[in-house]
Amino acid sequence: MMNEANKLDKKYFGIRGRVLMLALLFLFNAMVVTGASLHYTFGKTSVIMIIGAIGTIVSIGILSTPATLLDENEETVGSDVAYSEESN
Amino acid sequence: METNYKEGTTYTNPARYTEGAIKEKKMLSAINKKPFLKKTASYVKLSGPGFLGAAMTLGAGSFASSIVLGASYGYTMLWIPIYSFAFGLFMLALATRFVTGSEMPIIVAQDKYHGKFFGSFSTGIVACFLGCVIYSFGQYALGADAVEQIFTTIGYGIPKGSGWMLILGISAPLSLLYSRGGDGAKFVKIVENIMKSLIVLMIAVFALVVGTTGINIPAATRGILIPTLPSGIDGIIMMIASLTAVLGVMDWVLFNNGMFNRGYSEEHETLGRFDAVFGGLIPVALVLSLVSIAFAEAFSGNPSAPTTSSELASALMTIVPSIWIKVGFYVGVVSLIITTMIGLSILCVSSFCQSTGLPQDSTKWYYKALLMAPHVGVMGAYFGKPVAVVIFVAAMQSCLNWVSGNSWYLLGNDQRFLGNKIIKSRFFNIGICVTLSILNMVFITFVLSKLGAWPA
Repeated sequence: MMNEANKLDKKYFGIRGRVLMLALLFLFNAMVVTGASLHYTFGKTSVIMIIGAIGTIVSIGILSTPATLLDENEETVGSDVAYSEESN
Repeated sequence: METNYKEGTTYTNPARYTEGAIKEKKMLSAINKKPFLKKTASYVKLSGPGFLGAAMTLGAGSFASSIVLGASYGYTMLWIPIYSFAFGLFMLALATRFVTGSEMPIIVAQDKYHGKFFGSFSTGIVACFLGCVIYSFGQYALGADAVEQIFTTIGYGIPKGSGWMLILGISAPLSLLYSRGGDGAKFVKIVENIMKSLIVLMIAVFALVVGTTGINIPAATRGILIPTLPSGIDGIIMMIASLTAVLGVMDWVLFNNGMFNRGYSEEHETLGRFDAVFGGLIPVALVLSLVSIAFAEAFSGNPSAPTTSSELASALMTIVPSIWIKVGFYVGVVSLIITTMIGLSILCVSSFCQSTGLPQDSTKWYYKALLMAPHVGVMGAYFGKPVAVVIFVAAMQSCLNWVSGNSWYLLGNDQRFLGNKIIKSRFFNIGICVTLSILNMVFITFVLSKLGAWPA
């Protein structure tokens, strides 16, 4: 869990992993709703809705990982650690 | 107290350091070690902010949707208010963590760590301030009609639309009293106790109404315990709409501010969570379920369920035989509106001050003006809701509530804000993420309905 939390709170392309996962969760939520609309309103395939639902569950599973508690004096160490002041 | 975020400022909550608050903190340290039953009894006495949150949820909107659910679907949808509020409990627990883990007001914290778009604009101005002002029209429209029905029922006619005076006459002084705070939040507690009494009154009168209309206990038990939905797109629409009714940023912020005004500190966390259930979930579930049951019995199979404020106010006229139970029902509706208006006033002023940096000084003219701002809704008693404005604000909220929710999740997992009080439970984070998914879906359905790809 510690490793997963570190990955979540690391920065990728200048953005925290947790924020990127929130964006992914949003994307999967959009697939659920759009897929439901396509399937139930227009009679199209339900694949998009199912992928969205699975993706939503997986994303929530990942996002549920609590952050690793850092020592107070560790907070600003390392530019890729999300708790640094620069990460605003 | 200066509220808007300024670099280098140390934020303290003055309510935490009053003599009364320090005494309560010491008392809680002792209470938290007591056995379960004794602890619960003490928490019941100290509860309060949860009832503020309940007052916000129990407004004209949730009242109307309970009536429609009961009248249209009978007992089958009774689970909706309970399950919806249960999801909201995760956000209320997060609101508690923010107050007990930091002295920085929540909107200010959002400004500091995520930027003013997330804090001041999305949460403060759009979700809370505009919501408080605009949604008051619907409250006054229903409340004024209910007051008129009380007088009509006992044989004293009053001029049409004048019922707003009673709502304004009770809710405005109580909002002003709340804002005075006092040592150990003395006045805050007085108003909280009045809110508690009004909510207990609502439960009692709606239970009396159900006693008159009758109740099918096996069907009610099934309806509460077993979630069912219409099949296909109708079920999805209903689920999203119903969950949204009680999953609002306004409720979370009001609950948070209520605890902030009481000076909650680390020792208050368990009390805050207890209050979310005892003062929030239980009253909301009871009131909305009783209303749904009454209308399920009264309108079962009747397609003409009431929808407008005057239809809602007079809906039970022909069904309830006793004059005094009819009066009781309308008194319950009036109590519901009064408590909501108090909650709207308190949230209006605190969210605006936190968003703009105005000091929350109850002696200042602007503070009183902001406290009274939601009462512009008295016009609703004459003209109804300004539909176009309500739709515009609701649309903005649909587009931004998920933004506020995401910001709250990140703050709950941010050591810079909460230190070692960050969320440490996976279960807690799952509950928050499920709530976020619902808020995301509300926004997406709004966009799809504008594109014509989702039934409006």
